[in-house]
Amino acid sequence: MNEAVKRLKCGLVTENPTFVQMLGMCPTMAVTTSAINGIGMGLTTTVILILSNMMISALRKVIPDKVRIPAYIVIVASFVTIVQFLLEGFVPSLYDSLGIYIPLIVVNCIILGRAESYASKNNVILSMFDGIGMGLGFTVGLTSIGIFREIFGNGSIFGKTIMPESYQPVSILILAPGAFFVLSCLVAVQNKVRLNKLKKAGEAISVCEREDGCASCTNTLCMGKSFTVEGVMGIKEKPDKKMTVGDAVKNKSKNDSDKEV
Amino acid sequence: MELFLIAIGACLVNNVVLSQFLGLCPFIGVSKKVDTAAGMGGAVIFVVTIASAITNLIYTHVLEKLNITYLQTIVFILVIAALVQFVEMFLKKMVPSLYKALGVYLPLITTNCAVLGVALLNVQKSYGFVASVINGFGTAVGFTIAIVIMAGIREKIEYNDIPESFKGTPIVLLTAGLMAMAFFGFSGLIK
Amino acid sequence: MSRESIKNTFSLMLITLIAGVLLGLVYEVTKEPIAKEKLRAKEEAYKAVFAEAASFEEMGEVPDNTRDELVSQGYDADINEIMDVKDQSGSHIGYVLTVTDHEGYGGDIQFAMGVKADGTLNGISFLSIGETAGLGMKATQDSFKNQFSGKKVDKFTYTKNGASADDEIDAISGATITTNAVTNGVNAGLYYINSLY
Repeated sequence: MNEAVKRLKCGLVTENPTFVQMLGMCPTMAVTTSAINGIGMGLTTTVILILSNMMISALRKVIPDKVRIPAYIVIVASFVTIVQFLLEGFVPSLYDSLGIYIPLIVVNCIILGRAESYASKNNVILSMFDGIGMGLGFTVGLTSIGIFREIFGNGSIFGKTIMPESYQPVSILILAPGAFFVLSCLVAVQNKVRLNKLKKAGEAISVCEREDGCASCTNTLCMGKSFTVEGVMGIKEKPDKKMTVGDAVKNKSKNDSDKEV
Repeated sequence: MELFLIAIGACLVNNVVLSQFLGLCPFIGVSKKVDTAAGMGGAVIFVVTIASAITNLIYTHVLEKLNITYLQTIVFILVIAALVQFVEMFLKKMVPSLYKALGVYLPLITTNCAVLGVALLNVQKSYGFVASVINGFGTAVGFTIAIVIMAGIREKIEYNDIPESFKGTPIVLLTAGLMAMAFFGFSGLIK
Repeated sequence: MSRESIKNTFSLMLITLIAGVLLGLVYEVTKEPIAKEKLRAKEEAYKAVFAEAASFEEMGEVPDNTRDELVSQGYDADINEIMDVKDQSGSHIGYVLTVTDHEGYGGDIQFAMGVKADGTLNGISFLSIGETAGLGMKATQDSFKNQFSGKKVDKFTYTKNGASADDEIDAISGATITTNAVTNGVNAGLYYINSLY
């Protein structure tokens, strides 16, 4: 049971997908124009993450290693489609405002990342808690960015106006450029925190040494040479330098553990 | 004329990265140098255009015929993944020169959300075959424009004095925000 | 192909097949409640634009060439449905239209509009709208929506300098595209109703 609590804390705080790992940036920027959209997207992703984590964990001994990534994608895509039906039928307003970003949850790095690095190695219950923790962490991230953008960009919160009449909303914040600005500041704060930590530890490592922030590790994690039909087609390719998901995850967990030191 | 408007709309007005936030990861990850950015752009143009064509054919001739359009997400992502692999193998054998130029970038594209995004948008806007291909092509050109401009700016930024915590990703995102503002100027192009 | 790759191919196919079949099942099971829910939402919208109505009856298919005709008038819109509205005594009191306008910022905007028998626009209610929260989404607020209600005009125009005439609508600030889309959609609906006679 202790482990389960640890998974929750991990997702919500220490490995928060939005604030610490910077995963799933596309939906983060696209849907956080209001707090309610942020919550909606976060919870939708959470549901899919929990279901896919559980399913993948349950099937982890059945899925052949070589075709695991395509298999994960099939599983995730199925759950996304189911959730999409339900949203369309029962929460049409959310379905309309999230639009194309619902099916795009399939390629959200958080889901595949958790499948590969956690669910494929742990039992169903723990994977479920991992999904809950990570999903809620993502929800908290999206909602707080949404709240920030909505308050300053529109003077309201969850659709209720809270700023005084005289407040002139900074509409740019809820438009596309605003998303970039807000996220930029967020990453800068994150960098600042890490820099301070490093300074305390007496190590002077500049931010630049980190290969382009996490965006690029996200990149390799999801996109690297992960998804191949080689396994399926039985084509033997000479081993090359490109990272596989396994490597990416190993590197990532190495980075994480470095960070914690 | 309408096709031309679709192309302009997809490439400038609704720029895939700067207004729709699709394909952000490569946009930030592969925009350090102009030539790699251009290579990535080329690969994206190639794959997105073909993927738009194929997903459109599959949608109209298989999914719609069988009344299983609800399977589109799962079918599209598998088709795109397989497609990228086949394109890679095909280029390697048949057009080695092109493979040499684009090869490294191809695998990176599979789960680039822009590819799936364009395929889904084509369906959502109920574009026909030609319109889908044009829309895919325009979108990818828009991506290329954005990433190449970004790479050009980043090459200069290298020499600037930036606050330490803004080095790396934050300054890239800030620049992207300014670019997004500049791209607003295009919104008047189509009524 | 080696045995292993055949096995891999087979298991991936199996997983995909199972997923496909399960999805089909879920689709079949949820189809009806979802359709019901949609119908309910639609009826609610109809009631909202025509409170005094007792029944709505479909008036048959909208002709296929409607779209082309609307486009030729400068409206990129579709009329999805037209309903005959009757009061309790069963006499005709107006129409309810479902209009989809394709000019929205975030895609299509679909809404229901009620028109009284004398041509007065009774009101509009959105069925599907995905505009930017805080900007285009303000179209769903009463302060914008109600500007259309109770007016008998042939065509609305929007203005940024304060509406002064009956046929003028105050644009949503910062969301001209949405304003334009909604106004055009309403005009398309009015045009269609007028063309019926």
